[in-house]
Parts: sequence; C-alpha cells; structure tokens
Amino acid sequence: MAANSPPAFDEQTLLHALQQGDRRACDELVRHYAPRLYNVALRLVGRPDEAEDVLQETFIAACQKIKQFKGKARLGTWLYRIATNNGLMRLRRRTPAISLDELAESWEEAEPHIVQPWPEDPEKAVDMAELRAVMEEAIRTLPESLRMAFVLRDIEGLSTQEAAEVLGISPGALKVRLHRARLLLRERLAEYFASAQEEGTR
Amino acid sequence: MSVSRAEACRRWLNALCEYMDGELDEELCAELERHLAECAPCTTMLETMRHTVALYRRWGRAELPEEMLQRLKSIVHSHLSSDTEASTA
Repeated sequence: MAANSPPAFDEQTLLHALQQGDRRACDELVRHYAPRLYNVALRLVGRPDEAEDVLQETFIAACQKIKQFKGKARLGTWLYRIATNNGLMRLRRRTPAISLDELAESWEEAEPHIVQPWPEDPEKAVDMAELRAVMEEAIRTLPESLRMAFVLRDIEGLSTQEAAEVLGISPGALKVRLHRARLLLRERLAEYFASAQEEGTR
Repeated sequence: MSVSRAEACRRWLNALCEYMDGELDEELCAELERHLAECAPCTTMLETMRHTVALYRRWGRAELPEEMLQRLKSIVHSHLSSDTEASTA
C-alpha cells in the first residue's frame, strides 16, 4: 500500500455509520466507490458527463436507501447493481437493446483467426500509447452485454457470482458472455501485435 | 492439422476461459492440460487470452477526474441536507 493511502477500508463499520445517518460516512462511501463505479458507468454509457449523472443518481439513491440494505450482497455489489441499472436505463432511452441476431454475430466474430504468439512482455514490445488506443477502441466496440461482463469480471475483479448478480443473469450466462468478450478483445489485440511484428521485421 | 485435432481444439476453446479462472472441473482440467502439452495453437490461445486480461486489468480502468469526485461529494451532501430539512419541516 502506498504511504499516502487512506486508512484500511472496513465495509461493516462504514455500513453501520451510514445506517446511523452519519454524513461523513457518505463522503467515505463516495470516496471509496466512485472510482470503481465511474469506470463501470463510463464503459456503459460512453460519455463522461452521462457517467457523472449516473454516479450522482447512484450515490443519492444509495444514501437514501441504505437502511433497506440487508447485507445479503456486499455493499460494492449492491452499488454496482444500482449504477448498472441507472446506466442501462439511460442507454435504453438512447438505443434499443441489442438483438439476439447481433449477439449471434458477435459469437461468429469471436472465432479466433490470428493464433500466433505475442511478445513475452507485450507492454515492452510496442508503443504503449498506441496499444492503449487499440485497447480502448476494442472495448468500446464490444456489444454492451459482453462489455459489461468483461468490465465487471476482469477489470473490476468481481467474482462470477457477483458480476452475474449485478447484471441480473445466471453465472452460466455470465461465463458465456465473458468468454466471448475475451475472445473478441484478444482477436483485436492479436491483429495489432501481428501488424506490429510485421512492421518490425520489414 | 487433422480434423479430429481441429475439433478437439474447438471444444477446448470453450473451456479455456473457465480454466484461466480456476473454475474448470478438476478432471477436465487434467484432460485440457494433456491437450495443451501437445497443442501449440491452444497454448498460444491460452497465453494470449491471459495477456489480454492482464493488459485490461492494468490499463482498462477509466480514471475518475478529481474535480468530478469533489462535485459528487458536494451534490450528495446537498441532497442529503435538503432531505433532512424536508423531513424535519
């Protein structure tokens, strides 16, 4: 832990303080969870201003409803669920839900085509700014349902069970989405590494 | 590559994700590891999928701007204050 890190986070203590109506606990809730929720909200709605609105709604709702929180899920999982629902509602107003045809297409696209080894340390082998731009574009263009499974599970580090709870789907369905997401992202990065290697040998 | 090998690779492709996450059934795990020991393409798939996840885990989180964090705190505070005033009015 870095020297300037805040004191260790204790979910139970925070929850107790929130349920007692402690204002400072609300600050602590925002400070601790906003960075995580922002990533999820931004990946979902795609625009920083809208992601900020999602976060505002999420924290206000959470602080108002905290007495109803029964502790069946972890506090973080509960917050991710509120933020995801808020984000999805916004998204649905803008774009209709993805059709089953599109999901089937994403499965066909997920078939691996470029299967060649990458450099042992990919970060040292290429221009990181370029790689990060490719990574951003790849995740941005994933179908939303696959993107959210990947963001919650692989970037936020939720367990399969927790990520499934947040999205309101079964753990089996979560695993299928995650697998497709990983395959699609891998393929995009494989294209990039293949072209970088080709350029390097020219 | 023989047809049966290609079919085996296709079948194992679907198990790689669970294998990476340590969620694959123990028996299947041993069977997959035997396949990986003699199949370079599947080993490459596994390695490149691991690299993919590791890269996103390290670089994939969008950073919350500090000024947004401060705005959030103050908006949440002002909402809670107005709620308290309304309930005590």
